[in-house]
Amino acid sequence: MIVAIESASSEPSLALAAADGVAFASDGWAGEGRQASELLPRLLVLLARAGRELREATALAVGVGPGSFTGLRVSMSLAKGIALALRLPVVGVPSLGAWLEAEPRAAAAIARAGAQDAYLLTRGESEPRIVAASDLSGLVEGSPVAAPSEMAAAFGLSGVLPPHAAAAAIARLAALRLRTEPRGDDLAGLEPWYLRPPRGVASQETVSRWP
Amino acid sequence: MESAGTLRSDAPQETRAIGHALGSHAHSGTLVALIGPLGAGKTELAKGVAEGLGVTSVVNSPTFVLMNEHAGRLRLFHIDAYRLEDPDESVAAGLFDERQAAGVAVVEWADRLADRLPAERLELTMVPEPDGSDRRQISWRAVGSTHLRLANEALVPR
Repeated sequence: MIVAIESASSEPSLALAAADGVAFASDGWAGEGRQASELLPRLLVLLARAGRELREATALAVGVGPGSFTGLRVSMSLAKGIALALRLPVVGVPSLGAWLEAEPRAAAAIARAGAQDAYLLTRGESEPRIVAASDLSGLVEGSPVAAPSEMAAAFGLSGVLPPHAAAAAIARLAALRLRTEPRGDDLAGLEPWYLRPPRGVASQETVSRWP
Repeated sequence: MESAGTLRSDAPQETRAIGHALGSHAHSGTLVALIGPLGAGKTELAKGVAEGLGVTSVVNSPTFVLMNEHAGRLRLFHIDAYRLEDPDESVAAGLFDERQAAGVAVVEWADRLADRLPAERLELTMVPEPDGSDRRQISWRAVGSTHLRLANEALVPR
């Protein structure tokens, strides 16, 4: 059983999947940025509802971001803690790619990058980029996007598909990797991916945005 | 979008009143960056912002903990960059996370963050008069629509 955890936004998700990556139980919700108190209790409820126990897990899969600064640290810590205690492999999967995998209708995936900017992964591109959040509605031009609902309200995005099925996609993608790399990622080396640290103004005179 | 101006404060309570006006008019996503030497009144101004936001808990310089959070009309994130040795430490410490989009952030010693400070902000540079009095010259610069509006509502005399 693969246990998948995704928390790159205020709408986290969890999934339990068979070794082939097909999820048989999942959960996704609009939280309030309290992943530290939500993720583990909801994982235990998900296990209980599925009639399974954590010790049956064979691998952990976790979204590495980019996205919520603290959200990613919470999910990464939880996945690593379980993997360390049960001596299981852990596989990190890029979050926004998994959001797109989970929502075939979405043309792009969007997560917050700090308070003023956003990570944008357009379908077909290999890497997300950082854009000014105020530019988002112009960039996606009304196409359906995978994004947390609070961003839809804040930036006037329509056709928002919250990433509640992302953890199931992360389990699928992790199962593929485990086929060729059964040991997964290095437990100590795996860390949240923030793409690049925020960069603000270059000087007092010119105002530049993150590229 | 940018605007700028200068204020004068003749006493700590005037500095606090400037902060109070900012806190009263602050919108979600406000970032107030404070620059000035020790004793310039940065914490006094931050306390005023807290009062203006209706914060009832005690506001002290978070010099050692780097960031304090206070509940108010909007959540206040009070940051002190004094002890950072390198601007990149602000990234590693998560001093600017996405939750601040729904609250108000006040940063003391903001100049220590250099270009790690988010671009859209209301920056106040507090300069004590060389005569050793309580008088301060406070120049401000607002970047982004949120901060232009705030400066216009709270700092521009009418």
